[in-house]
Amino acid sequence: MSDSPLRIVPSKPAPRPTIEDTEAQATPPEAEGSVGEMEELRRLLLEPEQLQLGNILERLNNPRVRAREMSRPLPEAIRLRNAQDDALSEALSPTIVKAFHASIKKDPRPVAEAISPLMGPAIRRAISVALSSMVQSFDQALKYSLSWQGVKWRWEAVTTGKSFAEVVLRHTLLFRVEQVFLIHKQTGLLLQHVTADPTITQDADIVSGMLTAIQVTIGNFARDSFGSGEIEQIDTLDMGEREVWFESGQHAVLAVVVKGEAPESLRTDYFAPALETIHTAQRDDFNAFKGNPAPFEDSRPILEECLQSQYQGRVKTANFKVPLYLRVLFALAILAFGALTFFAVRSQWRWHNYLNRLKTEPGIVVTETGLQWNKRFIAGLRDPLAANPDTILSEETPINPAGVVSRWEPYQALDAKLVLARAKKILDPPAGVELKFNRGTLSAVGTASHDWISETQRAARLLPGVTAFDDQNLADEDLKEPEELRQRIQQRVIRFVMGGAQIAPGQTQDLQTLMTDVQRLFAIAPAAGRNVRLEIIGHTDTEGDELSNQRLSQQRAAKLFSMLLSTQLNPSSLVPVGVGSAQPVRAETTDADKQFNRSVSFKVSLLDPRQIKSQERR
Amino acid sequence: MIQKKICLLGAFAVGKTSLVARFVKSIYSDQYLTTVGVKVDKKTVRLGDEDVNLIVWDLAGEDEFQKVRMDYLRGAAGYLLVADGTRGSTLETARMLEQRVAENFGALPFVFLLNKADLVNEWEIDDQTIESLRAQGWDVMKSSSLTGEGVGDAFQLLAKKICS
Repeated sequence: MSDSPLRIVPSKPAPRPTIEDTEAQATPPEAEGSVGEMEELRRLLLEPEQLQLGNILERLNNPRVRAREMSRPLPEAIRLRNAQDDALSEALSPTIVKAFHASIKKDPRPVAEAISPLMGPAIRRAISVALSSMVQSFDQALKYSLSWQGVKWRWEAVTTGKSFAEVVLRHTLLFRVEQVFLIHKQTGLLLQHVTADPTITQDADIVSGMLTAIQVTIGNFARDSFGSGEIEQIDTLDMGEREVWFESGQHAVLAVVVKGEAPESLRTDYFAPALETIHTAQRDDFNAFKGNPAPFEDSRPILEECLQSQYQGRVKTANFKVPLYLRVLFALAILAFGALTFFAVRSQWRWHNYLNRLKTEPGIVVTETGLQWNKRFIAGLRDPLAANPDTILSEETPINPAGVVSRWEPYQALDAKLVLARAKKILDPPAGVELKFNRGTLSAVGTASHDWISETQRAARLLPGVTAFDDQNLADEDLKEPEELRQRIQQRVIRFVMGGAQIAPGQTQDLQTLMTDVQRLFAIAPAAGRNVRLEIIGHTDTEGDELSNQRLSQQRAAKLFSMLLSTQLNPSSLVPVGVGSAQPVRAETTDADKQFNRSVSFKVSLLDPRQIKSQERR
Repeated sequence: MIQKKICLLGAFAVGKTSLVARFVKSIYSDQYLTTVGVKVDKKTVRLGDEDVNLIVWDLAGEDEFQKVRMDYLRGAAGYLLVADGTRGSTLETARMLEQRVAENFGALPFVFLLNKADLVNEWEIDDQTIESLRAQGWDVMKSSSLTGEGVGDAFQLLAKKICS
């Protein structure tokens, strides 16, 4: 710091000792007297300066004092320097950025708190813009879909082959900024491109170059034609439906493709400010640009702000206005027509359903339908046992029966359901019998009286549609007791004494029961339509020769035969036979078996006279 | 992706446009050349690990009635200079154009294409001339619009020169 105010310049030119030098100098002992005087003289001469010097040293060496003093002119100095040029901002910029990063890294909250008042409204605004544009487009779509205008445009869309949205756009669009190109001024290279319609697929790089080329061409033309020294800057290219607006800055050109009649204020409100903002924010990127457009991605939101559009709030309508009463009449007519159509269609639909219902109903054949004096008319065939069409009409359909004229001719239907119904009606089966009908065969299952069975066997075949009657599973309730008696009699064995035709003692009760059973059987069999045939079979044991056994067995049979005859039975129904030892009652192994084989057993046949007759006929 | 503006220069009817037609992405018709005087196309070439987009300004050919406007070359990183091997005069035009570019924009990188290599029997430009051009520091390549010979290499070489 050779030029600093620390150095004191003495009045004599040389030697030039400094204060520090003087203070640091050792004093020789031999000169003490004169030194004291010199000191005194110096003090007297230099005291005010020394005091000042002390003050200055104090100010310079004490950092707090220096800081306090520097703080006074600092704001003014910054102001002056900023007014002069941007050097201070540029110098401070990296430090501020660094400090900002460091601060956020350390604790992002203060920064977040500081910018939150700005972010809130910005986000709200973005959302509200998005929402309102959505509501607007929805509103427009709805409005034009439902209006007469909408119908016309839809027709236009159909006839011209354009989409409905396109037609609506064409009629309602005042203007729309379709694309924005940010073009490097010197090279014509595309820095950034935004579009309102993401379907636009033209290569923006090439378009950017061509837009620049056209600008140069027209600029040259203007200079050649009108003699201007500088190349003219093109503002607007008119391309019929579209215009390209150019906004030129120091480093870049904004080329904005506008459809429709856009207000000139867009330039001052959007395009010029956008270009200025980009220039300010990306000055370094412009300066360093060597063909890489990546840094200009940051300018995208700014360019997107330029994608403005405006639609007609109201659609122009023809001056001719239809009077209100005519409109009301027209509306009423439409309403009436609609109502009539509705009722007609509904009535037709219901009638159709009724006819279909009748078609599925067995025993009903519709042969003719139509309209007769404003009434519906239906004619056909109906089995008396089929469902009643009038009941179906009134109970199953909402059709007013008063509006329907029906004429049904009776006939016998051969539908299984009706054949069965008819059989039930005619045959009147008793409670224990169930009738079934399947493929021409009428079956009866259960128990019935002999008379009913006989009658049914005869009558069933006469029923229309019945080709066979199956009574396999039908039991004759009148045969029940004869059957029981038959089995009891057949189980009975009357034993005889060895070698003789006398009944062995101790069988009085058995004989009595036998007589009673036989008499009862003969008495009730005719009621069940059966004739009784009782075979009285005489047996012997195997003792003795077969000839005498044969004879003995016949005698035994004859014994019982004569006993039964005494009960007034028809002799022709009793058949005594002797079988000797040929058909033993039991296999003969013990004496007890032999005892049983010296006996008479019975075989009862309940004969159906009709079967006998048919067998006889054969 | 890096983008570079390059120009396509040459005398009238040396076949510049047909030469690159198969190699570039184009959305404009050749009519632009006669009406606007320039047509912009795009060609992507790969240099090492990265792609470079060459924005190709095809400029209307120069003849005695029409001069190539140097304004179109503003901001160009380099250019392809094309002459017709069968017409010696087009080499002169090319030399002239190269000089004019150098006067206006300094020494821009360029690659010189001698077109119509498929008609080599009819050439008016001999090997000696070519050698002398090379001796001047020109990158000379032979090309053919018919076969596409040399075109891809020329783009590649130019991209390499302007990006180095």
